[in-house]
Amino acid sequence: MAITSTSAGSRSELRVEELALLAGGPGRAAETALVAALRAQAVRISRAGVLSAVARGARPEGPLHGAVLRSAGRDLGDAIAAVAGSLETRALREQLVARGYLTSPARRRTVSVVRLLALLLAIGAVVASGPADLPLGVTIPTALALLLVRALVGSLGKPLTRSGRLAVRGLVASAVTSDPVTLVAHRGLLGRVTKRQRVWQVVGIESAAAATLRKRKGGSSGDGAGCGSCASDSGSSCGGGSSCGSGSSCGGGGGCGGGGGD
Amino acid sequence: MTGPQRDRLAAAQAELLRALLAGGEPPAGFDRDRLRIEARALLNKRRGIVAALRPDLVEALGERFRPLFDDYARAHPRREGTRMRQDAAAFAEWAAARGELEPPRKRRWWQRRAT
Amino acid sequence: MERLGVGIGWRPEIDLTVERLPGVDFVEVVAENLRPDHLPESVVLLRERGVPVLPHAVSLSLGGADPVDPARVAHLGALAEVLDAPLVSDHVCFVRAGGLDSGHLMPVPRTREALDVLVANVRAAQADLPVPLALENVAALLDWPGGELTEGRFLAELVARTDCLLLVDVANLHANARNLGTDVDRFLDEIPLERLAYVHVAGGVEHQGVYHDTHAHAVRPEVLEVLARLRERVDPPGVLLERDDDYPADAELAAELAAIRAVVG
Repeated sequence: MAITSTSAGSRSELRVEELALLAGGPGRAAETALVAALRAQAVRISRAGVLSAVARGARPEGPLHGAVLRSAGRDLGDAIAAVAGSLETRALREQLVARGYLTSPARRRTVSVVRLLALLLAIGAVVASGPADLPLGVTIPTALALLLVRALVGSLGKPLTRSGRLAVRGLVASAVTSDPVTLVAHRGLLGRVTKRQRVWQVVGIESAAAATLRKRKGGSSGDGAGCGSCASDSGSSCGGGSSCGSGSSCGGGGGCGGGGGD
Repeated sequence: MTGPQRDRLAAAQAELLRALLAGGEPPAGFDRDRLRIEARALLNKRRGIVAALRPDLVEALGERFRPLFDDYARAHPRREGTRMRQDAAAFAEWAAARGELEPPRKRRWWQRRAT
Repeated sequence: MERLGVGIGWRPEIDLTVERLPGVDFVEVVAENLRPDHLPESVVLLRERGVPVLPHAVSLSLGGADPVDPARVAHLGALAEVLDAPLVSDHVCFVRAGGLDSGHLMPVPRTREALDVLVANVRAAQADLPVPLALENVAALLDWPGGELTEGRFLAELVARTDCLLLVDVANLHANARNLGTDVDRFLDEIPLERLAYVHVAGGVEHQGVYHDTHAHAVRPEVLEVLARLRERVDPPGVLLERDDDYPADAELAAELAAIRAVVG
């Protein structure tokens, strides 16, 4: 892969969460931040997929770490959705726009409007040639020109800029040999490592926990085709029908313990 | 066999819980300070469980979560047979009714995502 | 009494931690949070490994004025059977009264009258349970007026009249010593230690001169000191660490288990 050397410079400026955001959107960035926190022992994910913060645990400096900690108490799927929708993730996206890696939403909107207009005008030109009695020798080239404009403008509306695409290509190259967090950034938790192995298996997430992951829009779930083989039986113990006893702990409320002093 | 004893014990225990949970008069013979400390500990525990069960409420209410929950709890001591999840849901409804919490927005069809 | 060793309270948030911690000889589950027909995968796995799983109930309200709820006893019994548990436990406390639920384990008055009601409730529960019942001393922030018996005597009488087992929580004992002036040595001398099933150890925090048994803080040295004083009198069949919230890193829990093991040897 010749691209590795050329992209190394731009890639090193970006944090892994940023690369994840470029490669797979806010959901992928959230997954990456969460796995980074998990590996740093800042959070736990239970068998059933419930996220909890480790008391006095490590506090890695990731830009989304605050959002990860705030999402504790949710299951993995909901936690990722919460982090993906957090202010921190939005800020990260805006920074990537400002730094020229991502196309701004406004520009993408403008481009899609222009593309739609070009298409309508092209159709209009051909359709109008009959009733308006315009020569086909004029309308057909006009329509073709409009379609050409539409195609050329299209590349301006891509989510990633040229630097963004280069950075993602660098990530693709490095993810093969590097650590699990980079792997998540590259492929997403539902992505595949081999034909039989998913990324979530590599990073130490249990199948019931992985079953809480949802396929999200925006490609954050990699090539994953849902989670067909995941157990749906999560064995969750504080859910549904079970009564939460009086002094009981229901998700950390404190079984027999007291309520503390202050 | 234990009928009269049960009745006397029931009255004493009910009086204590009313004092600790529902703003009732302090029962005779108890240390007032300790009653206050116990009442606060029970409130802290209840709030902590609700916070753990509904992180979404904690996030939505932010700084207001604690004072609001404490107001709710004093006015609504948990009744026998009410599970903590129901308690948390009741608090959410109470906060929404007071305009402190936006009721869950209904998504229009075009806003819905295929899950 | 069956040897249990050193254990930790199994909680859903730390299930994977409990599975991989070294030196966990047995675990305890909060009975109300489990369904016998739908055990968590982690609990099943521990059972398959041969780790004893003891159901620990918090809602029987045995010290309450109402007769025990047969459905709650049946639930506890069903769990004991599906887990093949050697014993089950609950507390010497009440949780409900006058239509209210305290959400916590409240102390009972230490009077003969309250003891009579407790004994009747315990006997009713025992009659419907498939395995022995152990009862635990609770931590109190306040004391009832008119107590006729020390806590040790109260528990000794309870054991004598019901033949129940004892689950001694040394953190609760420390709490009562700190908060209510309970004499630790006298308590340990008064209770029938030959009926000791196992021991609880838990963390807490001191706040404005009052010890709070939070299960969300580290185990304090004073609590290990109470464990040592118990150990001077008896070799406990088991000691279990309870942690219910603010779970620290695996290594920190492992260190607490090691500290407990160092005391009971």
